[in-house]
Amino acid sequence: MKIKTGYVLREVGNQCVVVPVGETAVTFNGIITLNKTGKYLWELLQEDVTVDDLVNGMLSKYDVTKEVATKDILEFLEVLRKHQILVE
Amino acid sequence: MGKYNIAGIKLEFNYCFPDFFDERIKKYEISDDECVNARMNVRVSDCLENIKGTLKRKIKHHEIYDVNGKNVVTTKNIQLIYNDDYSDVEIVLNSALGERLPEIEYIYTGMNFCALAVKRGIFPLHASAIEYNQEAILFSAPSGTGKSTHVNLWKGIFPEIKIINDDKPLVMYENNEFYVSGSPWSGKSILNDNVKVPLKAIVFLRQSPENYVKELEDHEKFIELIRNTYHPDLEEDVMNLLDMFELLIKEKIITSLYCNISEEAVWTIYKRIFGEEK
Repeated sequence: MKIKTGYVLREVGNQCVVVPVGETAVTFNGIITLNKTGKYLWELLQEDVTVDDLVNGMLSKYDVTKEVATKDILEFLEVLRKHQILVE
Repeated sequence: MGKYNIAGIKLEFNYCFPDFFDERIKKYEISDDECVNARMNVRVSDCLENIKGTLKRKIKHHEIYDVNGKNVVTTKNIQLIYNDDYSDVEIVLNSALGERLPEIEYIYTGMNFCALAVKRGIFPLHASAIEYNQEAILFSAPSGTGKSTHVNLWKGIFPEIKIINDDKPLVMYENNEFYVSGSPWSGKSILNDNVKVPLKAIVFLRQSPENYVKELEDHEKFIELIRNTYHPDLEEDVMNLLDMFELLIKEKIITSLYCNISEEAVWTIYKRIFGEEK
């Protein structure tokens, strides 16, 4: 799975904001705010990756258990699916 | 056919219906001798021409065709023919639109002017803008929140204020300063003024039983600005817009006011912007 093209990520203050650009949207609906972890996952999802790749990435970067990381990642992917910005 | 100077854009503009324009656009008229740097022409036709060209891009449900270097978008009742920087726009309206023609003309010319403005580094903000002490304060909120109502409260306390634009004032960055201009596209209201004044503050309004200022985090300001502006088609234009918003957040007062309909609402935000009660 990976993020569709046509989104731009901007760091504003201490958060990241994902904005649809170009042909993805006629309006600016579907703006997403990401924290640092979300930003990291977003960057990993620029390439075609699996859930395992994301979990391994999280474990290598953050001090979390595999269970917590997996749960957070699945929730994050659900948000992306809801906004229809994931290609599976 | 007339010539107008709107936020520094010198536009030759030919509209068909006086309903929305005659009262709003006179203030922007310039002499016939002036050179223009943009054109917008509207005409009504009994049948929209089926223009053949090369499919260039698809945006949601619309297909944009390249026809001899011009972009052409055709829907059931409206055809837009424009160059890449929107400096030469033709809008063809189907006469079948009947009574709605004046309103559709007003909406579509407004949208195309916004597209042109963004190309020139000017962005429209969905807001009611006032001039107070030679500076602009913009009150932005979704339709129906009470932007005009709040501005009327200001007018009650400070009769000298001017309404720059009651729907989509234009914001630009020139010589290291943000300015606000009026435009004839002022929504349902005819209130607009051909002025250009430095921007003092942008206030996002929310209805509330109590009056209070809630400061916004930088990313919240960014999102509010994005939600209340015009969305350009092209990525490069969006990027330019986002750059401008980042700068705006650093340089200007951007905050939110939770308010009811009372003079206290005005004083609450007045104190935040000017630091003291008058």
